[in-house]
Amino acid sequence: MAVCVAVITKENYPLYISNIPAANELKFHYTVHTSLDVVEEKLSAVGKTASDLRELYLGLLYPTEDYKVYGYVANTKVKFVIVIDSSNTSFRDNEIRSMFRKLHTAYTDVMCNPFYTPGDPIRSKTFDNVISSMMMQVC
Amino acid sequence: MEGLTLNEAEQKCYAELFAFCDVESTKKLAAGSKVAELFRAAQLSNDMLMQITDLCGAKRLGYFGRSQFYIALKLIAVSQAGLPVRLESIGTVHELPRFTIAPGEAESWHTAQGHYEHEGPQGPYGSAAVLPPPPGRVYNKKLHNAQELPSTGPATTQRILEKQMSSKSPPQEQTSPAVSPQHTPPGSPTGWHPATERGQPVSWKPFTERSMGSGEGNWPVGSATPQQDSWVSFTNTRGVAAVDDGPAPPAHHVTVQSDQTPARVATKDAQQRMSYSDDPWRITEEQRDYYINQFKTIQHDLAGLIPGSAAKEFFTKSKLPIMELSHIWELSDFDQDGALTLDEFCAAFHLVVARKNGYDLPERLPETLIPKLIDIDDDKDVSEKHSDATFASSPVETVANKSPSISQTWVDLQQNSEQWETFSDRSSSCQTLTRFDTNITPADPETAIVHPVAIRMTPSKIHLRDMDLAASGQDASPPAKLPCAPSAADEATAPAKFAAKNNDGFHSSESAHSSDVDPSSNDSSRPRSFSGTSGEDSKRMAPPPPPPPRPHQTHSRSSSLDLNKAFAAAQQGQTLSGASAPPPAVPPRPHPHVLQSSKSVDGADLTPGPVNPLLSSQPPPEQPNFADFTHFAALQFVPEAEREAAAKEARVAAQNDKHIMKVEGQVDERNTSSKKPSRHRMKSEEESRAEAPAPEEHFKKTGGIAALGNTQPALQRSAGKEKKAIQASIRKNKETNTVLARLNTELNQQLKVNFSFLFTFSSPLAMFSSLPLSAF
Repeated sequence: MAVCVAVITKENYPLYISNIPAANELKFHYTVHTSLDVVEEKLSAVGKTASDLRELYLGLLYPTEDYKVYGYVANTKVKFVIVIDSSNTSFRDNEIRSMFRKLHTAYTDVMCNPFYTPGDPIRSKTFDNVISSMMMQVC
Repeated sequence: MEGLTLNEAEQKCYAELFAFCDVESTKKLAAGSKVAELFRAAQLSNDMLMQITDLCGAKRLGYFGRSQFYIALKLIAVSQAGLPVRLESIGTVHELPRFTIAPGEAESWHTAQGHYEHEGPQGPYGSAAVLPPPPGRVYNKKLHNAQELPSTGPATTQRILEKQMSSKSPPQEQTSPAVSPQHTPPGSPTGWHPATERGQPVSWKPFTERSMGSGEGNWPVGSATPQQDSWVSFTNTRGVAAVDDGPAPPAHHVTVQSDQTPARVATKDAQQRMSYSDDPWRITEEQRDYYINQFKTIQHDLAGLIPGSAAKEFFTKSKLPIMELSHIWELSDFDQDGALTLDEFCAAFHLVVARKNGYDLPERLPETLIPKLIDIDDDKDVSEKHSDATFASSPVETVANKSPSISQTWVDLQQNSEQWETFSDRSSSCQTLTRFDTNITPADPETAIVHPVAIRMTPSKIHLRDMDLAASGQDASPPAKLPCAPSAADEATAPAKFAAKNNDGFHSSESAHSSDVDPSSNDSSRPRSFSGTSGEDSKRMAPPPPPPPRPHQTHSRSSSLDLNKAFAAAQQGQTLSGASAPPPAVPPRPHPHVLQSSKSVDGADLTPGPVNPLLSSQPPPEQPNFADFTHFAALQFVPEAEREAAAKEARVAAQNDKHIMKVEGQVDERNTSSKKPSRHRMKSEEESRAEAPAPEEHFKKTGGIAALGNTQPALQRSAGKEKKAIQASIRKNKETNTVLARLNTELNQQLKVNFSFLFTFSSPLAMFSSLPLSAF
């Protein structure tokens, strides 16, 4: 089962993409990229958008035969996308939410690092560890 | 001599070194003491030094011209970088050569004192304490702290050099307190212009190391001291802008630099002893003092925080790659707040120093570096003037010992944070449960009231009483312990307590209260809840079968006077307008009608024998009951309905003092009567009846005590007991289910009996009908 986690800025370029297994990375890049359209669509639909967590969590963006894509938007329009293999037992909504929350927390930690300039690709080992643990747990 | 390009930092450094060595200002550095000292400070083997001198051409020339000197310095840097010393490799290395205080002394230290447990870790460790980036700063500090004033020439020159370097060195430039050259090269430096290039002026780490070592270790060698002092002075002179080529006054103590660039190496380093522990991640006292000093340069308040931007600026001077600095930040910012406390700063500083000395950054923060979540040593970390002595390594260790536990808790907290997050989700679900609970109990005080009374003696009484109270709007009597009674009482009190409720709201509040009361009452809640549910069921099922006989309305449980009153009132209500009294709180429901009809039926139902005639009279009044109960029947889980049915039945039963049998008989009657009106109704009625008697029976079984207990606790509702209400309702439902199932079987049997009767009757009728015909 493959899981991919991606962090995309509001300019819609990726800050971080990682997937397990490490193969077919390009495929996940493509998937994440296509999911951006759905994200934008949901964002525009929200409109007034409060900072409500529930609104931040976009839920299942779209499913394919192989996997499901979940989306989450932060207040700063930074998007998190998680791709989960469909073969994996469907996750409860709460689990997905908790994953996004973890992702958001890890992202804020990276942002807090004064040596990190926003907009740079995320190269933090700590962040990588968090992501890996999350994906392994999912696996 | 191939062209040598030096970056700006290198150029400065080398120039200063050259000036430092060029004591005589002859532009020629003889292979004198200073040069030799300087080269030795590079911590290179003598052979290497010889090779370097050969390569640079000094040997050829017999002296170190500027170019030779620069080349030599470059070669030193090359060798220190680990590259083979070749002229060609000069261009590859652009780090500044590192010099320690007294190479000779250092060596002697090594040999003389097996103090260093390991050369490697300690060395770098020592230098770790002395953060290279702006070594000059360090040296300044060191000098400042050093009490001794360099009086020796080398020290002086060093100081001069330090001053020069400090003055010239930009924040990020490494000023190398070059060891005074032993000799000055005779030749004049051939002119060559070091081009400025990008450069990573390598911190004078070795130098700092030496200083560190010397500082920390004993000062066995006298010369070491002055040199250390020189180092110290060098750092102090850092703040001095003037470049003094001449011998600087030994006693020239540069003011502690107030440079924007934090001095990495504090003078304390010089004083620091080589009392390193094996753990390279352990901060020694001297190091800690130095870190504290550095902290103060940024943040005067030791208990304050260094904002991320300032810390970034500070640590960027270390010339470490941003990635590594980022990693160090991630490690050291324990609380992830974007700012560094003193402990975090020390940890970060320590990591930077370690990294500078070649240690790879750990993946996780070493335990010894974990900042104390509880500031135990804050008092100790006073100003540098005091803390030095007080801040022994032991506190650090103790703190470190504590920090792991704290860090563990912190880690646990972090790990639990996710749990907390999930918990929030759960909490929402809990709320839904509570809401659900309230929904489950649609106000139906009547049922609750009636329910127990139907079956149980005491409960019935209480129920009647409660119902009367509720009807009259009086405050519920002290909660009777009858299962239904309490709910009824609660309901009665509820309306009294909660105003502004319409009938429906009234009922809902009552029911809610009853439901809440159920969970609120610990022990009694259970029976009460059961009774309530069963009562509701009974109500639902039985379009009020004649209330089961109310054995004793003066149930012992309800010792309160109110009970008696209620009993009397209930009786009166039952006898008179029973229907109206019992279900006072249930205006919308046609319970009153049902009750009335039930009451009317009660009289008839007193004798279970003649079912048919009674049934005939019953059907019409029962129909509305049926309708009502069918409505309730639909709400299987609605305890109120059950309660209502139960209450009504209870009333009836109380009046008739009939027990389950009566109820059943009533149910049978109703069943038969219901057959006429509609079959579908029958089912619902049967169900309701089954439910009604079932709960009633159940109530009897549960006992009046429960009801009494219920009424009493009813008044003690608490939001926190909603869960109990839920559980109680669940239990009720289960019990009612069982009871209903049994009732169903019984009813079916009765149905069969009735059918048999019909058949028996029908056959003779047919015969009779046929007779006349035949007769005729």
